[in-house]
Amino acid sequence: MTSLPGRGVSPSSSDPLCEGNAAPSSSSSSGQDLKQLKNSILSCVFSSPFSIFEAHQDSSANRSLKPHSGSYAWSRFLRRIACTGSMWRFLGASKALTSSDVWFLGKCYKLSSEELSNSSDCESGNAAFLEDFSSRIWITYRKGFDAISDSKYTSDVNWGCMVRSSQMLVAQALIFHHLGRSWRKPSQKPYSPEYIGILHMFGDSEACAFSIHNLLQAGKSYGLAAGSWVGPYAMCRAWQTLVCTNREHHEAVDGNGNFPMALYVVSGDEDGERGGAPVVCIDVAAQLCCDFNKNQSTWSPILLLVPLVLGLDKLNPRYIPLLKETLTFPQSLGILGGKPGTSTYIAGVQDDRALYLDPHEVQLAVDIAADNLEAGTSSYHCSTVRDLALDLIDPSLAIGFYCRDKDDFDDFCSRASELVDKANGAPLFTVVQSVQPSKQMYNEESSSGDGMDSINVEGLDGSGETGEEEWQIL
Amino acid sequence: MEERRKEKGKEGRRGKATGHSVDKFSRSNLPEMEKRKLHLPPGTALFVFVNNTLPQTAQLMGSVYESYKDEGDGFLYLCYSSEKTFG
Repeated sequence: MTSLPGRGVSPSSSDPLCEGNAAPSSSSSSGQDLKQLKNSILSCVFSSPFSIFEAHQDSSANRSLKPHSGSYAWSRFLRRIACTGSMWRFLGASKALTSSDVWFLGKCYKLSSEELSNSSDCESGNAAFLEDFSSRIWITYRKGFDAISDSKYTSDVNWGCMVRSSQMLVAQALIFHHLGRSWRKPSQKPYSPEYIGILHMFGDSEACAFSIHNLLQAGKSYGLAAGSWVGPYAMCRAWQTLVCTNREHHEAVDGNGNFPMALYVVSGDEDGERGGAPVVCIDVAAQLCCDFNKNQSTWSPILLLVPLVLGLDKLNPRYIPLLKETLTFPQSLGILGGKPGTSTYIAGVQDDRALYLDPHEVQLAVDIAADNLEAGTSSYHCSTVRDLALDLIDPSLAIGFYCRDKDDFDDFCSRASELVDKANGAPLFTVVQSVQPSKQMYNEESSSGDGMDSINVEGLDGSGETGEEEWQIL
Repeated sequence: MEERRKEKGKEGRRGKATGHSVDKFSRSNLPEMEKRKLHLPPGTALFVFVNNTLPQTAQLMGSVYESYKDEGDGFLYLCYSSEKTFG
């Protein structure tokens, strides 16, 4: 691993370890339990990486219960330790070496450790993966931006991680669209106008099309608000609204700020739905493309967002192989999600570990002007590969895909259908050609023929308004 | 057996179908649920679980019932869940 010396070391200026080191003096006043936590964590630090991992669980639980600054500084410190602990394994610097393939946003990298192979091919696999990883747009907590609408929030620290994760996924969709999957961050300025243009759109002000300010505004009716946590379904709906609003708003002006592709949130109706595995409907996608193209009946690029809940309390493990496989699709944009309460941008997988970009790092807001091709963009890239066990992922998540054209969409559909066949009856989502017109078909023989056209949900709330108790809410 | 808990918390609600109703609707897909009936505001996530998995929307109730009915009481138990939040 000597060929890649920078990886384990985070950028020093924004390193939360610095904050963490300052924490003990302030934490001494913040309660006995915190001290105990600190002690137990420190003892874990000096044992195995696995127990560090467990300890991190504790710390995030602590964070959600007591989000005051003392415990926050500690939890961030602990988080960093936890991440470092698991990074060792990934980097092959500990005993747990692995040479399994990495799948990262639809691309396969063959990694190896020094001990297993000295061939230059494998080394270049490592380097190529890192170059790809660090070219992705990394969007984090920021502080020091203009207050969000009428709130006093000038920072999204401790609440904005789902918004930030979703921005990373959509930024990747835009990179994919404008620059291609094989684009890498150039080492020299001036940068391309497309790249700077994309970063500009994710700036932290109302003037930037896809800013946290505008997302929260668009997502109001889904419960998005400054200071509030949000789930992936609500986040996808907020994007849908924002893209739609921007489209109307900018129609008369110019294409700037317009989302350059159709957006399909694969989910049921807003008011009611059947709630099973979501259904990608080809006709709906075609209609969205048609609308995007203002009724010229050609296909357009399309972003699919599939919000899911994959288990009641924790992720049902039967979904893990399916989730992994979505990251092998060439259309993959990764996954919004992470450990309970902490959303990340999961963009890759290796064995039973998810590889992700972490928004939980506080950086100062920067303003990247759309035409400044010399702008400093280092705060939008991260070369620290973090990983977490797939079975620790919270069941609430959203998967993204980008399909460039009709052929690409068809390819996506055939891959998705193959994945349904592998799902043993419980797919993540399914693909159909058209909306199935008939929701309810009575069994002629046993039906009483009362002519209802849907299952009468009046009885569901237990009010007993229907004579027959066919469904009952417990 | 975890799914059989009676829970009315905001994370999940549970419903059940009798053998009679499944008979009648055995060739129907999953029922469409109105969110307001589940005390969910419009625009919130709603997912249904049978045996801790998402049933396929196109699946017929009859086959879901046959696969997952409770052996003890003959009911098919469905759990409804919204989503978790992150920060």
